[in-house]
Amino acid sequence: MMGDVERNVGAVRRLEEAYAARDYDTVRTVIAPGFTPHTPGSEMMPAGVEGCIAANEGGFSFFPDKRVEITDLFGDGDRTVAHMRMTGTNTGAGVDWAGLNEPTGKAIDLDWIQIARHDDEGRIVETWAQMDSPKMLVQLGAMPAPEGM
Amino acid sequence: MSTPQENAATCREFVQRVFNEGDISFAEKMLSDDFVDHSPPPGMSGDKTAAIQTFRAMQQQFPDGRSEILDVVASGDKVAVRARMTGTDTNGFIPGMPATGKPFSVETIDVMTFDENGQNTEHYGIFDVPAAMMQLGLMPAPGGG
Repeated sequence: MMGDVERNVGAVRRLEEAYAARDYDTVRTVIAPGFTPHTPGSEMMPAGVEGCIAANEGGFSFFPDKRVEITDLFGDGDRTVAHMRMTGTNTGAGVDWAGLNEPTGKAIDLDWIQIARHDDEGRIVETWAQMDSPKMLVQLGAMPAPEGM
Repeated sequence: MSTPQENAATCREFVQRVFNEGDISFAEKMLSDDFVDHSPPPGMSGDKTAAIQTFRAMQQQFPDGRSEILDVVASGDKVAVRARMTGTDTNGFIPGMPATGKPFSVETIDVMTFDENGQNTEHYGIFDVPAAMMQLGLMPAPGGG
């Protein structure tokens, strides 16, 4: 079982490297064809792995200098958990949310946590993720900082 | 030396006793004295005292609040818990926003770190704030403005 967990954890690392390089041939091998996301907003994306690719391209269109760092990664059974940190500057397109139709030129620095389920070959078949998106709206100036922040 | 399975069991008991039964004393026992919350509510520090205050505040904000565990992943000194939190926004659930009296149902993911005695030393958690704000009518849906 330990070998499987190491393989799954390696798949998450390979996926983030492929997203950074916009290497979508690799993305299509790491994510299973029938992939199902359970991430808020994913219902607005194309189905399966193509939705992941569209989301990554969307990220680069908003934040051309986007960088993702895995700050914590572990696995158990068929699950992996990744805590990630994304930084970037909104010099591309507007994020098209909360009235942000134009680029703000502002920098973001926010976290998300992703739980993934892997198949018998280590490919990712399902993900559940939460992103600290209110922090992004505050950093982009669309929302006032809550008191004391 | 606490095992990942023991730490996972502690997290399950924490959700049941603290969130579902309102027994804050379990949190006082489970959190180490040097506990650090890396995602405290706005305006709160991340220490143990503040965390206990936050648990008490949650009981005030949504007294009917419940958390149902959907997934637990434990490895080494870490435990991740995915859960669904439901309740009624009775006394102001979203920081800085007025109470709406409306129900909400959102997913949460929390990652806890444990020491060798099985005490919780660190926490990082995110819940689906945009979904909650949309359900409470405090924010339009994406694409809708």
